[in-house]
Amino acid sequence: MAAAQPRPSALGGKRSRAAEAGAMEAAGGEERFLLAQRLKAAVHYTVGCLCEEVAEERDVQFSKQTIAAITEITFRQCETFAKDLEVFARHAKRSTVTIEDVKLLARRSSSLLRYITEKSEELALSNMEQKEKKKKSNAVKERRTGEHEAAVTESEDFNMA
Amino acid sequence: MNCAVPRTTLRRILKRQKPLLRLSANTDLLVHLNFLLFLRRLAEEARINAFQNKSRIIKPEHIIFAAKAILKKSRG
Repeated sequence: MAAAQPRPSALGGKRSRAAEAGAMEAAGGEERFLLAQRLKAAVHYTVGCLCEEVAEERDVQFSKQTIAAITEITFRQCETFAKDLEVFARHAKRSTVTIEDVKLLARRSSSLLRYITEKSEELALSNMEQKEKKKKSNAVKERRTGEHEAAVTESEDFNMA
Repeated sequence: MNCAVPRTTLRRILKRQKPLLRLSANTDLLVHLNFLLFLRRLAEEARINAFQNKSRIIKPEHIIFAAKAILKKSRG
């Protein structure tokens, strides 16, 4: 964790600068560089957290250089991921990347594919539940407002439809 | 002139793997190109393996080691 701890402060310092850059709304080379630096710092922090978890589990220690190297690898890998996802979506004549594209990205290793499929199913389930909840709460709200407005029959018909 | 690419053989092999898969025109030529590049990579890797083992000829074990690596790399 020692490597990751100084990062939040550095992140905070960069965030204000990046916010200024965003305010200028001109993505020049230097601002791009700053954004990349900020992103790398965020990735570094997360990698530090994850490495700490693994270190506790396995009872080993990660040196700072190791964590930095993993960060760099992750950053480069993300570039290829982004390109692949873009191409997959375009191949399906879409401009939006969906879960199917991500599954296609993970097809090379069967265990990873299984894991990602499970996760996506979980996500879909939780999404369905949330939607149902929203529907229910919306229905309750509509009923309440209908009662408050002394229940005009036409509006109720509209709700039913 | 005779066709150097074994097109029907390629199509038959693909058909044996995936009976319901249809190939559009001239796709088998691209498949053949892919196959040639794969063989080239396999040969290079096997040669490197043999060189590392100080062997002057490529032996079956070199090919097997190379095949493991190259098959993994050439997954789509």
